[in-house]
Amino acid sequence: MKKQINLLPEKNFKSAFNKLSFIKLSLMLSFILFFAVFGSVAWLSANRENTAGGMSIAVSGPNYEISVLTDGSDGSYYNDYHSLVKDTDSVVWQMKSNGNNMGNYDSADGIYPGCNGYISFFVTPKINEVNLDFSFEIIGYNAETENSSTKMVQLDSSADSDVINYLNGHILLFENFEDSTYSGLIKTGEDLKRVLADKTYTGKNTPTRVDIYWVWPENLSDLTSEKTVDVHNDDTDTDTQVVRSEFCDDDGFFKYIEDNPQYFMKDVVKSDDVTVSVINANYPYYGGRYDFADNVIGSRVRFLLVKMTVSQS
Amino acid sequence: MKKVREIFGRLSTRQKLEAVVALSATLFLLIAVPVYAWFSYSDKIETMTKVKEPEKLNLCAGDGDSIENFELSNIDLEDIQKSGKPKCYVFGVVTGNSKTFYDIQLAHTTNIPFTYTLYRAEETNSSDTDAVVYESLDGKKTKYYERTGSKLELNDLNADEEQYGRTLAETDDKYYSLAYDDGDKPEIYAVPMYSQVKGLETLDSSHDFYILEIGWDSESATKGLTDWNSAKNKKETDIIYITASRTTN
Repeated sequence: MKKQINLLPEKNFKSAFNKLSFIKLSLMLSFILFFAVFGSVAWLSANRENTAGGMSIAVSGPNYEISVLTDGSDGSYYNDYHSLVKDTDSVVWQMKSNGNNMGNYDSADGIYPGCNGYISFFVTPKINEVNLDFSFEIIGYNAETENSSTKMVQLDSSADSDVINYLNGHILLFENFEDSTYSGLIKTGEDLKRVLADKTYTGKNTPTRVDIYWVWPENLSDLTSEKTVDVHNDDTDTDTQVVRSEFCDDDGFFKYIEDNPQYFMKDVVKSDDVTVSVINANYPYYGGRYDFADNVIGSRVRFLLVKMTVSQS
Repeated sequence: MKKVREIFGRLSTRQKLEAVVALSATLFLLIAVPVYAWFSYSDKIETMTKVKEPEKLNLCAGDGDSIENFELSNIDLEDIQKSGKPKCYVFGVVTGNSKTFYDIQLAHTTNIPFTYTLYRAEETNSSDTDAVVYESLDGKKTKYYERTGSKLELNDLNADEEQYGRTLAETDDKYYSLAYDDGDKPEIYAVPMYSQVKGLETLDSSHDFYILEIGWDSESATKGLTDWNSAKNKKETDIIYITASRTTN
């Protein structure tokens, strides 16, 4: 005999409710929302080009957008090498100007001592004023091919620590370049990241172009050549003559070399207490140490991944 | 809306509390997920560039001539013994446009008790009585070179000094294992000795010149197999490979 279940509507509801609590319902709702939101973000990332503005939205926080050009290219080494190590959540730096930027450097053989150029992006505040930190990393890789399969091997932080050090002192990043002189060295911190901190951008929805200048000086003497400049003291209204680098206008540039000789010269360490005056007085030796380090970079590193991470200060 | 209110009104206090918590959590997720997604989605831009490989090192003969002109010939061992003067040859290392550091290696057999000495060299004039003469193979060009500085330290990587009054190459070390398989039985004088000068710096990127002196180990004749170690031109051949490579450590 067939048993008939004929529950009243009210009972029916309560029974369903008891079986499936609000917590469960809310979890289901959360999942639906979660997928809906990620679906829309995925759409944004897949459609980041904004042809009307001529730029693509690359990096964005609630109060800012960082854009790169869309009419550049992904770089000469993207398809074969960069794509193998690319961070899944990072955007490829598209750039123009084959003669200057790093990703498209005009020599098919790559960059070498004596090369220089810049990498560009645009900052668009979404509020009247925003302060941003830019953290740069230059990471060395070598390509290894086995059975027609290529893999990228990152420099080892222990075995290749000498090369990693040389990259910090031989491929320099600056904020400015004017009248053949650099300024605003983006120094390497203890975590080996180069941070351009607390930069202020103003003008809601107004893009500001930012160029970061990179240079691989050919000789140590390029960095240590001295010039005497007058520095004005506003308090005393007097000029004082100080010795600075012809290469970089920064006040502490020489001190940076003296504090970090291991970035610039092979087999020279901080405890050697080598000053720029000592370097210039014994240039054949110390200049050779710099060339030696160039040689080590060229022999032991084939590819450099240049990465910029943005965050609000 | 009325129906929802009705349903809400029928709930117990505990169920009402659960509903409020669930609603709050949902609203929180609604706000938090997209904001988090923005941050996690993309706060990085990256590109890749290539580092140019340093130019190849090349060897050349005197005056920068192609290496074919570097010929180790006409070694008169008896004359070397008599005169006490080594036979000298000039060669060069070309490091390309940039300065670098490099090693020079002589990989040589030890059939004849030769000695090898290396000096840096510079061009000089014909009046220099100590000059080493370089003549191109076609005989049309003659250049003169003088030694600069003291002799360079040639370090033997695999010397075994206790062999028949001579310094021969080791036959049971890592260099031997790299060159020969287990079943190989090379003649002991044919096992190459690796003599190196390390960390030479480019002085002239077009050519760093060197003088190679080949002499005779006169002391070897007083030890071990004296006849075999004496300076006689009936000796057979030795092979010398000269290589230059970048110092990378």
